Order: sequence, then structure tokens, then C-alpha cells
Amino acid sequence: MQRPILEVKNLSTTFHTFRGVIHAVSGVSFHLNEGEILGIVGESGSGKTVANLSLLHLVEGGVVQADVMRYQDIDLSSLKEKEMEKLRGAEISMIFQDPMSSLNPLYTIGHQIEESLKLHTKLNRKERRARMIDLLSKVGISDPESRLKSYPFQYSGGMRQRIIIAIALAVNPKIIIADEPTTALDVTVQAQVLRLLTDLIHNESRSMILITHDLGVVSKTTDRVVVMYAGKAMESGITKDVIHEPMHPYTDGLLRSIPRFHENQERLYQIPGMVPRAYDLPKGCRFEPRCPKAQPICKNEEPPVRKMSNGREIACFFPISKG
Amino acid sequence: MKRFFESEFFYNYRKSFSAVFGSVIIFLALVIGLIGPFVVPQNPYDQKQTDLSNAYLPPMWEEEGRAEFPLGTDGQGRDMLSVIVYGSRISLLIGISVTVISCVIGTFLGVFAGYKGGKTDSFIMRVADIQLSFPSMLIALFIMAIFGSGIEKLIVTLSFVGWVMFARTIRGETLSVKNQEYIQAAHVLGYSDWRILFRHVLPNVTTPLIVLFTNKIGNVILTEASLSFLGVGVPVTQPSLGLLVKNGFDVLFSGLWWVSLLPGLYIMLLVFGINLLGDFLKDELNPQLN
Amino acid sequence: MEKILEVKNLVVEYPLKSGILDFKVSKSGISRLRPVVHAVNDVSFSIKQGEVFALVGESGCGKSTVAKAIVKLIDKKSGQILFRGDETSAENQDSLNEFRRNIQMIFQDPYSSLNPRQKVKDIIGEPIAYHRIRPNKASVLQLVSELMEKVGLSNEMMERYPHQFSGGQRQRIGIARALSMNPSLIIADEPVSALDVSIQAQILNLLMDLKDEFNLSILMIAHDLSVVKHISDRIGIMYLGKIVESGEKDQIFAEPKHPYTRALFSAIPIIEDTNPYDPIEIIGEVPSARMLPSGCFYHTRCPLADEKCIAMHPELVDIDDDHFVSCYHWQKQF
Repeated sequence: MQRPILEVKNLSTTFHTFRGVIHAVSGVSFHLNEGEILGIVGESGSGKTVANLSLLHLVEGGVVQADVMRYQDIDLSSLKEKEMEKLRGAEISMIFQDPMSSLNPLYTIGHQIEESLKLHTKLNRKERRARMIDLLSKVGISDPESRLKSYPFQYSGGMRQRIIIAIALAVNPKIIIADEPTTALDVTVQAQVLRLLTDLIHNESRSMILITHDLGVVSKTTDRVVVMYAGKAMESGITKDVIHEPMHPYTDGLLRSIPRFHENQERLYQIPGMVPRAYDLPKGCRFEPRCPKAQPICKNEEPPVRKMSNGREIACFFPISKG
Repeated sequence: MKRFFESEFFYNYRKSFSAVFGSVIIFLALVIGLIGPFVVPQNPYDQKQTDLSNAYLPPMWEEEGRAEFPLGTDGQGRDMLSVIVYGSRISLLIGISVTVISCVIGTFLGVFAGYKGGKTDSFIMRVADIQLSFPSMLIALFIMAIFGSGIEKLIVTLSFVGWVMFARTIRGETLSVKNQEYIQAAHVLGYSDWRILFRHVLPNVTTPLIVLFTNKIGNVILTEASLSFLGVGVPVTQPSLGLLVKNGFDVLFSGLWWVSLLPGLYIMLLVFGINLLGDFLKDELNPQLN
Repeated sequence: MEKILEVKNLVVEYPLKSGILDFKVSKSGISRLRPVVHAVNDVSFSIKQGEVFALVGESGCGKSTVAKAIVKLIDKKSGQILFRGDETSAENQDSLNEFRRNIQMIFQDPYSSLNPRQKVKDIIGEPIAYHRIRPNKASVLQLVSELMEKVGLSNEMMERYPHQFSGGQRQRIGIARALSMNPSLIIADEPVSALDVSIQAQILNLLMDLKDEFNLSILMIAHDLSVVKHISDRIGIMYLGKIVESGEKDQIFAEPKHPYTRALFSAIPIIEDTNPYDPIEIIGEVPSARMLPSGCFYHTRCPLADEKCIAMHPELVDIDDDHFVSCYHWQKQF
């Protein structure tokens, strides 16, 4: 099998606060193959965002540790700040959730795209302009030449997210990390933006990590998925497998608690209790207090990650077996 | 109380050197103001205790200094230590009472203007704008010049110009609280306007007050000192720190530095302490004020 | 069945601030411009006793404005809001109080819908005491603890402040507060959209249980179509301040007729299998509510639009047993 373009093993990120140590991410491993879309799904506080920020040295005030943090042949953990900055602009781009605050209101769209081109490429003025027009039409903005001169406030949320995608693509990155890119958007616009993103990934041999809380989005767009809960990866595998036959009780509960389109359910399944607070995590399995299958061992020991067939990995002593 | 000592706020406070240092200065100043008169050797307001022949004695560590006047004496033979302690009482009294009055008036007008909106809001805020467009020193100078000096008059005058800052901040805070869903909920639950104003809006706009309050005290002490220095502040019989600086100013260049400089240093130290604490509070409680 | 709430031809406009420089010079002289946002444009619907009616639409379609106009948080420009057949005037305090007790609201954001300076017992108990629903302090507390139990909170939590609770628990407190008035209609404005996925199911189940127990009718404002499909009996789909289609839930989800509804449904990210609706690429974005398009508001994005759509707005017509559609071309395929 091909070597993954991005690989993370046993990543932990901790924050020291006055309430004590917060384990935002504890021992998470995942990898991204070339040309695929990896979904990282979890609820608030699951550590899905922090894990990815840790990769890019964007965690403020946190301590990041990992056995392996590798992009192609580069060891990310040993990179100096300067080198990381270069990598962030040119090889790995990020798209954030809020299209309203990610753009500087004082500069034109053209200025903001050109800025990253100037910084990370050797193109001259003319070439930059051609590239910008090319980019804007690629993300579905009509009449790109005149649009370059407009300001962010002249655009709606969906259009701004397209521009942010254009900026992320400007330097032709190998990997895009998109953090809830469509959460602030309406359903119809969300569908447009997701289609745009998947097309851009699949047609141009890039790879993407899509961070989201929406299992519908995951199922619709991703190839593989990692399910996170309270700072740990509970389950990972090919998206279809995970969605159709969840093996971890958390994934199973989560999937069953969402209203299904094709059935008329009287009552939704509900996971009891609530997510544990980050500074007060259970000693054993983090899902144990809410788990219907919990046994005494789950309370005292953290379940190891088990490798199953078809690239599936599960952190559970008593996974759900089919049939 | 236990909750306070376990809070993040207190944790950060303990770790901030400048905040603790500032509070120590403020605490000492308050203690000196409260029990000082019982400790210092002289009551400078009592002419029987002073002797003109002791005028302009230097501090005790200078050659001609005497141990009974540790910080020397002024032109009327009053013990400098005693006048500074008594003067600081007046400065603190004015600083605190002006701030309390401005705060109460300003908060009420601000919350009312913000909540009512429309014409009420425009009227109150335009009055505030007009006040702000004059330097507050100038207004105070005029009023004091017309009505004469006196501690009560000074307090009223400074409060009259001091409420604006409170009103503006509280109004801004009210405008954002007004749109919170819990205020909408209060309307839907059918509460009266006054109840919503006092029970639901007011308690939620007070966070910036503590920051404003601290800064204002320092500010007022300085304004009072300036006015007194200009001769329109406190009466000569009850000298505040500012007036003490003025009294010594005439002889400052004849080598009698302590008469002016010592009370001046005390003002500086006091306001410095207040500002240290104020800055910490601002960073902690109101990051958006920066 | 009795209609508990009837909204007739509701129109809501927000005036935009017009400055002193906002004027227009024309042949007839100088006139002031009074820009407005047309938030709700002639909306009518009714809710029957014991039913869940959902207003669905994308942001800015006016669904929340309808809710706020019903509970008189904002003024309507014209139209009628009838509760059990009567209109409540804001002037008559008694009838207004009666109205308030009958119609309560659950808010979207559990982090801003509770007063942070009040203890839970005061948040839930204040309306009970204020409206003298119970005569004395002890009986108020008694009711508070009953309500807390009903929404799944233990009554030891009474002395705590909102920040000590999670999002889901706060939403339960908000629900208990609404129930304290013993209302017959609850307006739920996106009650689960701010909550985590695993908590949404808890709150939706709770709402359905309470609906049966207290014999409530519910007006649900939502954008999540899976949630709407699960919880509602009838739905109305809004676009730019108008209802474009309404009717029984099963009927509309089985056969959406309005081009907008069809586009909306085809965009739903569905977890299992594929989306059953024909894929429709919806073009462009919603026009501004400051300058509404002519004719049918959807014509700027509609693949079926023709001259008639640009010229005249289609009426909402009953095409089949309480299934209303506002479109000239509802029978056409794409």
C-alpha cells in the first residue's frame, strides 16, 4: 500500500490551567492518504480542532507531544517556526468555520489573494493576476476580473467561503484542512460549497481533512472517518463501513440518536448523560459513564486501540459485532 | 467567598505581581488614612500644636533635621508627616465619594438611556456629548470659581462632570445585554419594564463598573490635586495633598524641596498603586476595553 | 379540530435607520427615503390543538420573525394573530397577561437565554411568583422542583447558577421556565440547533414527552430538515418572508411540489443511502430582503421561471387536501 501523505501517531495536546491539566487530545493516531478526504467527526470538546491545530503548531499555550508527526518526509514536530510558516502557506492550507471573520474587511478580495501569492510564489504581477482570475472562476465566482476589486462586505456568507477557499488554493497546497467549513452556511449553500470542495480535491489530486460535527456531511463527502470523543479516537475506518456498521458503542449511539430520513421513528434513541468536562475525565474508557455496554473493566482501564479488517480501528473492550 | 478564592480571577490575581503590589499600596494608603490621625505626632489643623519658629525644618536625615519632625516641617511649622497623613484623608475622601456619586448617577442614566432607546437615549447621550466636548477641568474650574472653594462643593462639582464616562460605558453594555435572549424571555414572560430593567438588565451590565471605578478614583484624586494646586479646590484650612504641593511650590527653588516634593510623591505613589490594580482588572474583566 | 393559533396575512417590516442624508431628488421635489427590510410578507397559517407545526427555511427567510411577532417581541405592520379566535391588544393588560400565560417560548441559544445572575430556582420561580400562579414562597418552590423533575433535572440543582450547567441542561431549564406558566402553545425557536448531536435527541424526546403530558401545541422554527421531519405534523416552507408550500409533513416530504422545496430537500446531507430527491443545483443565493424581486420571489433562482413568474406573484393554492403551493409550475418536472 501507498505511504500516507500525512501521518500522526499518539498525538497528545495538554493545556495547563488553574483548574489543572486539560487533556484536550490524548493519544490520537490517524493518517491521510494521498487524494482522499478524511473526516474527523466529534462533538464540542472532542479535541477534533485542537488535534489539527497541533499539527501546524497553531496551538497557543498548549504542550504538544507525538511519537510521529510526519508530512511527506518532513518531521513536523522538529520544524522551526519559520519553516512551519512556509509549510503552512505553501503545502498545507487551512479553512476556518466563520466566513465573516476570516477575511480582512479593509482590503479588497484581490489584495488578500495576491498577498499569499506574493509571499509563497515567485510569480510576477501579470502572472499573479492571471492566477487570481483563474482561482476565482474555479471556485465558481462569475465575472472574476471585476470581483477582484470588491470588498468582503459586498459578499454573502457562501460567496465569502468560496473566496476563502480560493485563498487556500492560491498557492496550490497538497493538503487542505477544513474546520467546519459549512457550519455557518445554509443547507443549499452548504451543498454547493461541499460539492466545490470535493471536486477540487478529486480533480486535482489534493488531500483534505474535513473537521465537522455533522455526520450527514461526513457520510456525503468523506472517504474515511475518525470518530473522536473527549480527546480520544473512538473508532476509525472507511466511512461507509463506520456509518453502516458502527462497532464502537459511541458511534452507534450517535448514529442512532439522529433522526433518520427514511424511517418514521416514534422516539429517538438517546445517549444518556453528557460529555465529561475536560479537566475531570473518567479514569478508564472516556465513554464508560454513558455507555450501555460498559463492564467493570471499562471503568478502570483505558481500552487499547484494536486493529480490525479493512483498516478499521476501535478503542473498545466490547465492540458491537454484526448479526 | 470560598468560590471567589477558587476562581480563575483570584488565581490570576495571585500570580500578577503588579496587581498585588498595587493592592498593597492601596491597602496601606487606606490604613494610613483611617488610623493615621491617631498615630502621627501632631494635629496640623490645631494651631496650638504648631510653632512658627519650627518653620521649614528639613527631614530628620538632613543635617538640621530633628527626630520629632521625621519628614521636616512646612512654612507654618507643621510636621510634614502629619499634614501628609491628614491631607491624604481629604484626597481619598474626595476621590472615593466623587467616584461613588458619579458611578450611581452614571449607571442609572446609562442603563435607562440604553434600555429605553429613542428620544430618551438621544437626550441623555447628547447632554453627555456636550459635557465631554469641554475639558472637565475647565468646567470644574468655572464652577469652583463661581461658588468658591470647599470640600462638599468640590465633590458635587467633580461628580457633575464625572458621571459621563460611567453613563457611556453602561449604555453600551446595556445595548448588548438588551438583545440577549434572556431579556426577550423576560418580555415573553410578561414582566414589567421596571422589573426587567432592575432585575435582568442592571445586574448584567455591572462588570465594567469595577474597572471604571478603580480608574476613576485615581483620576479624581489627580483632578482634585490640580484644582487645589490652581487654588480653586479645597480650603486652605483643610489642605489636601494637591494644596500641600502648591504650598511648598513657592519655596521649591530655594532648596526647601521636601515641602512640595513629599506630598507630590505620595500622590504619585497612591495613583500608581490604583492604576496598577486598575490595569489588572481591565485585562481580567474587560478584555474588550483594551 | 380546534385551531389554537391563527396567523392571517402577517406583514413585518424592520425600518432601517434613515439618516439626514437619505433623500431623493426628483422632478416632484425632494423626498425622504425610508428604507425597510421586508422580513415577513403576507404570511398565513394556523396551528391546531395538540399539533406540531414547523416553519422551515434558510437564514433570513423570516421564520424567527414570525415567531417573535406572535409573542409580540416585535411589532407587526399589518395582519392578525388570533389565539383561540381572539386578537389580543397590547393595551389591555389583563388580556395581554392571559395571552402571555398561554403562549410561551423556548429559545435557540442556551447560553444567552438564561439570566447569568439568577439561580435556577429564581429563573423558573420568578414567573410563578410574578403572575401569582402559586400563592406563597413554599408553594412556588414546590412547583419549581416539580417542573425540574419533569424536564429531567434533579432539584438539588436549584441553588446553582446557569454557568454551572451544560448546554443541554440549560435548554432543559429554559423549557421548565416556559412550562411554569402552564401554556397551551409553545413556540420553539431552533431549540436544538445550538446543541451537540448526542444532546439533540434528548431534548427532542423531552419536548415530545412534555407535549403529550401537558397537552401542548408547538410551533417549531427550524432549519434542520431531518429534525423537522421527525418532530412535526405539518410544515410550512418559507422563502424571503413568504410561505411557498405548506401541508401535512408526510405529503410534503413524499411529494414536494414547489421548486424551492425540491431544491432544499435535495440539498439535505442524509446519512444513510442516498438522497431520494432529484439532485437540483440551486443557483446563486437569496436576494436581499431590502429590495424584493418582482413577481414570484423565487424567480431569480428558479429553473422553471418564465415571464409570468417575473410579472406576478402566484397565490398559495390548495392543490390536494390541505397541501398548499405558491407556484405556477408545480406540476412541471425539471
